Amino acid sequence: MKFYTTVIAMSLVAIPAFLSADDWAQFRGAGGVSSASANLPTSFTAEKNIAWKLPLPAKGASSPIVVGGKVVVTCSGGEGQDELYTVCVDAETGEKLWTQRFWATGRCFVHPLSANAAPTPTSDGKFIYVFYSSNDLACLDLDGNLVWYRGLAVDFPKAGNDVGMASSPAVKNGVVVVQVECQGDSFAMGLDARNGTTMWTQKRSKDAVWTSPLIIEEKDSPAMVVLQTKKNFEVLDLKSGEVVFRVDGEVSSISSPAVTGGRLFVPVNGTTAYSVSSNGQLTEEWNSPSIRPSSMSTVVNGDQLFTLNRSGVLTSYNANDGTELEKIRVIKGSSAWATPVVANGYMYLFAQGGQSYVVALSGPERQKSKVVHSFLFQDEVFLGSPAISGNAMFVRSDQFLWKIAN
Amino acid sequence: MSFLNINQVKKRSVLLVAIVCGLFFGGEQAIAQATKLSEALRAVTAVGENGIGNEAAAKAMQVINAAPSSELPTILAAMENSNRISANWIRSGVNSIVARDPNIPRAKIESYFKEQSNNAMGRLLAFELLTDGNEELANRMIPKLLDDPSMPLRQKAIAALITDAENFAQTDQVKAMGSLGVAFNKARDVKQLESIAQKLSDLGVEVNLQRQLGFLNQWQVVGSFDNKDMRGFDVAYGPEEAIGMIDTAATYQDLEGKEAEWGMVTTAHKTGVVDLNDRIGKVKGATVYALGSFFADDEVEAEIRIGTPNATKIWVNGEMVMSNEIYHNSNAIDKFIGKVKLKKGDNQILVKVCQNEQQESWAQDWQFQLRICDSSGKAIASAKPRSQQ
Repeated sequence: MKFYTTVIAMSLVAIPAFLSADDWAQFRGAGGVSSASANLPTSFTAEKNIAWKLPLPAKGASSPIVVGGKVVVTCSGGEGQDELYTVCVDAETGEKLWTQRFWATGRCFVHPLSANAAPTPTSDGKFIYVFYSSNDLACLDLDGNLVWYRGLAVDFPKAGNDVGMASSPAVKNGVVVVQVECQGDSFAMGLDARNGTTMWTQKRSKDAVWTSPLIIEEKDSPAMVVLQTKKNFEVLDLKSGEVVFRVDGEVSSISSPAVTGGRLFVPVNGTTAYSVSSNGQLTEEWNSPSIRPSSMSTVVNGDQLFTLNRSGVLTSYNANDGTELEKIRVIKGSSAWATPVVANGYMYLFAQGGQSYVVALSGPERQKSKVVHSFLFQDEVFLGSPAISGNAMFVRSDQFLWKIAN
Repeated sequence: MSFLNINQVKKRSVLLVAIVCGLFFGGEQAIAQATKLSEALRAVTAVGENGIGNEAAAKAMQVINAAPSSELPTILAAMENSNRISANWIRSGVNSIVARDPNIPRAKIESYFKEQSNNAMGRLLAFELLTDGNEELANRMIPKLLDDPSMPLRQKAIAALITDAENFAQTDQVKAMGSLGVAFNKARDVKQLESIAQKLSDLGVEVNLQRQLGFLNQWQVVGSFDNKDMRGFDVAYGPEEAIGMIDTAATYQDLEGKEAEWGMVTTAHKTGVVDLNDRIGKVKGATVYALGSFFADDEVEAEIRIGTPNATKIWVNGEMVMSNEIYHNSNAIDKFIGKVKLKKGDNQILVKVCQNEQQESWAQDWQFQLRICDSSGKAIASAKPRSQQ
């Protein structure tokens, strides 16, 4: 008995990082840059280059994540969007491995287009943290067993934006961070990844904000988390929740920040780039008032930034100084909400009306970016960004989860 | 007849000892496991607000997740002590157990399901266990759930009646109307009731959705008072100062210094929306008070449910029931719910409705819809006609 108890206790104490290079373990992948090195098909249809396709139990605006060869995606359904699903699929075969279900404990009101399952799950490689617009937060192991559950709407009954919350959780070093910013009870919270107990809570502004927290841990700097509101962005110490850096300004309430190579990009006063020093200090490198991502977040790929506006115009910028490089129209005749992804010189975009596009990006091999492929997935609604793992891309619609690969 | 030799005796003795020991220690093990499960369920049902109990529950979940299917009745029974958070801990444990060990004790689960006094969500879980992958059985069980006290189960029966009506809408309209009529009387879910009312209307039958849902349709309204910079929410203007003895003949000074008097508003909106822009005008940064009355036949526990995009406070018989300083995040029906004990006779309901100064096109509504119902959503009956309340 004592041995058994000790084993349980030990298993709950340490949560080492188990992520691999092939994992796409959070909204927009590592650092929120939405890009990866992968050989993906440059053309696909509903049949061509589809490794598998799996029907989902309900709709969702969240993105899939990939951890340890498993694709995890959330869905929500029922009469009032109160039935919550987490579905896990074998990335290789498309076989459904498990489904976990919960009853929503908070407000389920969402825009008819959206879903309670709008936030993207996250993972530290050993556990999966799923979050829903109703402020239900659960930790599952990779076999689908519940580790812990929090109904944050019970603690904050007026938390909820009835268009639907969409901020995705983040996890690192044993701390799960959620941001719930709305006209009612607004807060950010750091939770102990082992058992879901509250480590810190920060009161937030009473504005509707859909951005996701981004954890930065560059070089030797302490882990910190970036949180945006309409009028400022703050950087909090991950463990304590104390504000260590703050910039006032006009900040996007929809598109989220990204970090790579010691440089943080925040949609503040247009877009501002900061270098993250080894002691965790942020220093402004450049600001460009004209880089204004709309519903989608900025994509970072090498030395380039990309934004896509609601009219479907893709603009690229030099990531080193913010100067504009190129502008082309990609999406026509549909709204787009999903942040695109980039792999090996190609950008992949999915629009609300079922349209999909592949753009060959300008670079050493090509003077100008060009749409090289488009395909309409009939009767499908795409709201979530794709995930990339290995040489495959995983995308979900309101009905299906697809694996797109050569 | 034969005699056993010494070796045979030894072998059989060893076997007998093994069986006895197995029974004894196996039984002890079973008791230990049952105790462990019972303790685990206690830990899980103890989780509460702010993550209280999570640490112990996270450990306990490992015991529940590892339990055999034969323990499902015990686990379902623990739903009696659950709250809406711990219900999810238990549900996920049940899911994990069944995924690993699908041989569920059907008879015991069926017996738990049939007992209507059992926990509503527990019975829903039992229903799902019994019907998982067996659509035919589900279709046989669902029509019997029309009067079920578990609202999620009743919703399934209503949904089936709506589907019936849709199937018969073209071929047998009388049958379709019959199904919808039954559904209209039995349904409690607002969305289902709205859907049923629309389908009946399509068939030429108009029903009073406002009355069915228990919306108050007559209000005395006065305003508007100042709410510039949203400062009026916590200012007690004349009607609020007189709570408990409001005189609708009284007049007040409005935000422009003019005399404001109470005026009757009767809403014909199907879900009881009182449009203040229509009654007061499109004033921004303003506050109004609306006074309604509900006659209760007896003292009764009830719920006040309000849908509004504006900041509101509600008092019933002078006692504050809820305060929600939230602007323009939706117009959803039943957005906020407050529990109240109504007294026998007339009950006075005062609603303060504050409009802010947002300029966006989607932030212009100034309205509310308020209903009085029981915890299932059923309108509280009143002997007094609504027109006289």
